Amino acid sequence: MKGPFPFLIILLYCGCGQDAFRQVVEVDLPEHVSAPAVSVELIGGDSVIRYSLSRSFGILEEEPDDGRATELTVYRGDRQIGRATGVVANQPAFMAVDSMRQIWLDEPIPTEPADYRIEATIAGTGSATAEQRMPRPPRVSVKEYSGREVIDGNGFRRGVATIEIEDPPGEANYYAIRAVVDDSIRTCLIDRDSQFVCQNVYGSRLRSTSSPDPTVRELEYFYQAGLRDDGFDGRRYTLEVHFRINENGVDRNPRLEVFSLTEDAFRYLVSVAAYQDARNNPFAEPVTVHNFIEDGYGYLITVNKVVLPLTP
Amino acid sequence: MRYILLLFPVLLSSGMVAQSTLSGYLTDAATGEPLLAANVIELKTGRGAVANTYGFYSLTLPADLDTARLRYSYIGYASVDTTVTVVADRTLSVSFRAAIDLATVEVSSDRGERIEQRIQMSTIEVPVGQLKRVPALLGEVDVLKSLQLLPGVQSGGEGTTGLYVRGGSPDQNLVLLDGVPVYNVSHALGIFSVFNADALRNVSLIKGGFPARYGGRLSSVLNINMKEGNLKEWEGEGSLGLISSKLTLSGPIRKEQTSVLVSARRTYADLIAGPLIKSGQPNDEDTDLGLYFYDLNGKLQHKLNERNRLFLSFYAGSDVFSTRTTEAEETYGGGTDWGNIISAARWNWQVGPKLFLNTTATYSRYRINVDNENSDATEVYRSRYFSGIDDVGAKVDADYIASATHYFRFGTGYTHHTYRPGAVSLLSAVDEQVELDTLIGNRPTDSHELYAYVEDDIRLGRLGVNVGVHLSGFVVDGQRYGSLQPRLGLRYLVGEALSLKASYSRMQQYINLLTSEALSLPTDLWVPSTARIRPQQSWQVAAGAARTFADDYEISLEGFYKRMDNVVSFREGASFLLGLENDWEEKVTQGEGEVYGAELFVQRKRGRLTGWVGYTLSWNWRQFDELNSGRRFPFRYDRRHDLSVVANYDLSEKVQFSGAFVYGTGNAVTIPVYGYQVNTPTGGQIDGFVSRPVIETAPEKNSFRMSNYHRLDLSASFRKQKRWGERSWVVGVYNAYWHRNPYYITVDRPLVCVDTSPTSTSCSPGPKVVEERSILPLIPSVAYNFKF
Repeated sequence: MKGPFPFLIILLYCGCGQDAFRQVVEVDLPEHVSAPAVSVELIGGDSVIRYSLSRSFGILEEEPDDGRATELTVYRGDRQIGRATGVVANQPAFMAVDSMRQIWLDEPIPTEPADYRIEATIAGTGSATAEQRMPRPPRVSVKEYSGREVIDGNGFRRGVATIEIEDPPGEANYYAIRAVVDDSIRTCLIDRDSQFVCQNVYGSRLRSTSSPDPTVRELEYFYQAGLRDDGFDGRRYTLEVHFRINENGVDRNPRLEVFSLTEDAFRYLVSVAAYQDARNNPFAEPVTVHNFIEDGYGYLITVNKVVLPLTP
Repeated sequence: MRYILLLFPVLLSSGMVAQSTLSGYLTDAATGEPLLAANVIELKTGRGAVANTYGFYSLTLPADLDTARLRYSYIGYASVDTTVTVVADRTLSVSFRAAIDLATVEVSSDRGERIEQRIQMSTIEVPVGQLKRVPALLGEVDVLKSLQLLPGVQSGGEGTTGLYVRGGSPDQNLVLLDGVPVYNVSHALGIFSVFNADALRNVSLIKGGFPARYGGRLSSVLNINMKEGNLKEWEGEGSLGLISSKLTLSGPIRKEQTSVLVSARRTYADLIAGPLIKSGQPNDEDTDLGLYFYDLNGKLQHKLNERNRLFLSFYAGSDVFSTRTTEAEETYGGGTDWGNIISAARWNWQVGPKLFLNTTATYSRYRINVDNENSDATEVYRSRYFSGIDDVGAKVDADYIASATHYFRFGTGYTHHTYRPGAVSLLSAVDEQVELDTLIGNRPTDSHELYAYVEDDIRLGRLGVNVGVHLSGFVVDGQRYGSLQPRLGLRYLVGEALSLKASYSRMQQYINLLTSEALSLPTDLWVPSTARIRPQQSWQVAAGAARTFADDYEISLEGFYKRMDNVVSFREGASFLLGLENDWEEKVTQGEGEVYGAELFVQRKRGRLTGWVGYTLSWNWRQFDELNSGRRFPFRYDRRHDLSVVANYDLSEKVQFSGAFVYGTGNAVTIPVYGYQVNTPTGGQIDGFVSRPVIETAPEKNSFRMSNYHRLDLSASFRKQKRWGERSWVVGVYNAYWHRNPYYITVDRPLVCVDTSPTSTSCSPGPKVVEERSILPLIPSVAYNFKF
């Protein structure tokens, strides 16, 4: 053989080793040290602290389901205001909503700014801590609500209200807005006999809430629509709010709940919303969920709330 | 600006007293092609000049010089010595003949000035002949892949042609083909570039210290010029490769006056795979396969007279990936196609011995379509996602060579952009009754971009200065932006072979490419700056030294610092393939970038063994208030170490060997490392929706490093002279030792299968693993090249 052909044959031969065509390489991850994952929410004016504790796991491990002993202590300043013990609350997904536990307080959580701190311990994983300052209640009012409606991108009717935020100067402020109506809600539980039991109760139903304002971000859980005061620090800001309305009837007692959030809570709620949107979407940008729990994960949300009735 | 214009006539007048000027064109004697940066020097006075991109030079001599002894030179060509009487301005065009040892020298030719003499730093001129010798994937010579082997230039991933220059992203590169911006530079999902090396004349890459004549992008200027066409005789070259073939023809329509160049390239995977697919199908099923890309380059050159030339250049290229199956009465399938159309009309006018004007009208279009069809006898459903950008522009560039110490450039340009940032057309019909025929998505947006510049190359003994200013403006939807960008380059000669250099430049960019970090797809969107999305800005400083050793080795060492503001990124979780109802502006965020590092480049340009070693040490950071909790994070292509070694060895005139080795730190990526369960606060249901409480995430954005990248490519060329011309066989191997370089990383739960009986297997998901997947194994290639 002349020319390049012997060279080519040698190259082809060299390429064919054991398992030579496998194009996948397994890589190691640093070992994950399990730590407490906390879910704690403090709302100014409430007499209850909602919480749960679970345990983090490495991505290559299975989700733990081990019932370890837990302890959560809540402080305002240096004063302990609540304490609870229990077991790790990792739950099947469909039960998660009902798995928040409560610490009942002797007095309501003050709406005035104060520093709150939590210490969460899970046996065998050490302690996690977090500190947040309770933000001032938002100064906000309804500027216009006339019963006007728009149709959203999915073809649903949405009510329109305009609110005015009076932003305090000199500090970063974060807000969340959601619409609420009174409605009959069907709730389901698994009873002691492991039977799935459902019943209708009358209570508050949240309506998905958004805004055409480009600065408004989607927030996770029930906080819905959020914004920060970057563009209106210390000034009045008018915000148009859209919310789903009853397609088949009239909503009873519609109202807006406006929250003041901390920066950490805002970042956490934005990142978790993005995370949920991106889940199982291979075309989505990766999301890093904001973490502000020292030596642990999850959230400590301290919020103040103002309710704005909507009457045309 | 008014002051600059007032100052300009003063500058122009310098050195205009009672002097004579020689001017003309420096060209290749065999083809008539202009020789960019060929030299002329007057031996008695030491005054010299360098030809511009179009081969034009102008040399002003002192008034007291009666006769001038001139030496015209260009590496790889025989020098031309002549003596002329200096009595008045005169035209003297010179044609160079290739040196006798052309085979050796041609590929190592470079511009006339030595590295230490050039004022411009952070610039690499790569002769196309040298690029052609670098071992190529599947034997397909690729300009951009060869550029990735230079210091300060990185590839995005395995096999891709994206250029990441000094930490910038690909949309921050101004890629010019004959002066026309090219928006999509890739074929085949980025594995090949759109530039057919056979049709190219020269390639230069500027990484920093940008002269004022360039603007509109932050990170680099890649200037690619097509061959002008052979004015002397017909010639051709081409190749037959494993995946593609190409042919280039060039010659005079009217000798010495009008020439034409046509170059075409096409891949033929579809021609091979199509019949194979059809042969395996039932009789009532028929599949049409589209799996190819093509390029078509054309150029027409016409010399109106010695002072005026017209050029028309054209490029069209497209990729097609599609299948369409007809089965009984049902038709289904889809695919994607994307490509550029580029054209330019250019007028070169030598106004006088010192003034050269280049006027260009340009058109550039980039489109991508994603189609889907599903029809039967009664129902028709068709969808098409499309996006793109159209540019129409004009510019005037002037070279005014006032004297041997002042070389002015000034000009202005305007571009009208039309952006189509993603829309879907839907058609649905039942029994020929149209139920849905609509267009969803973003509306086209127009913008106007205007610029003007002035710069001066000043040579004062050992000191060389390039100083200039670039002024730009942009109007979109009533929003106006403007920018004044100073530029400065300094060179100080220390001895004969060593120089110290420094530069400063500010840049502003008005258009952005939205590209996904999640996947490498040709679905990138070009979008303008708007009232909400502010223009990207940068400033860069660089300092370094350049030296030539023994006339054979060129060494440059540069340090740089680049700061970028308003760089654009998708928000976390954003996906532009889904959620088209949202405006793209809601899916992006802006932040800052910071890049710094050092680059070493050692090149040997003569002898049997030629090549280079390039090494870059760099840090590349991004900081966005809305990403990574506002904390700084490494850019995906933050590459601490980047090394490339390229070697060409001429065993004889007939046999040549080439090799290229690359090594780079692994890309920084975001993968979930841990998970935890949180529970939903403020219980209740929202419209019946309950979010899943388990979160799997990473501690920081881009906190995980993929494995380091390294690869060796080899090739050998066997050349033979035939009666009809020259032929060569080029055999090569990409990734010679089959290193599994990561292309992407995934957390997976692969199936574990167990034989439950001799005839059946049971599979179930196994434990989770993190896997790096590579796409390009050892790939041999062979190509047959010919030239006549």
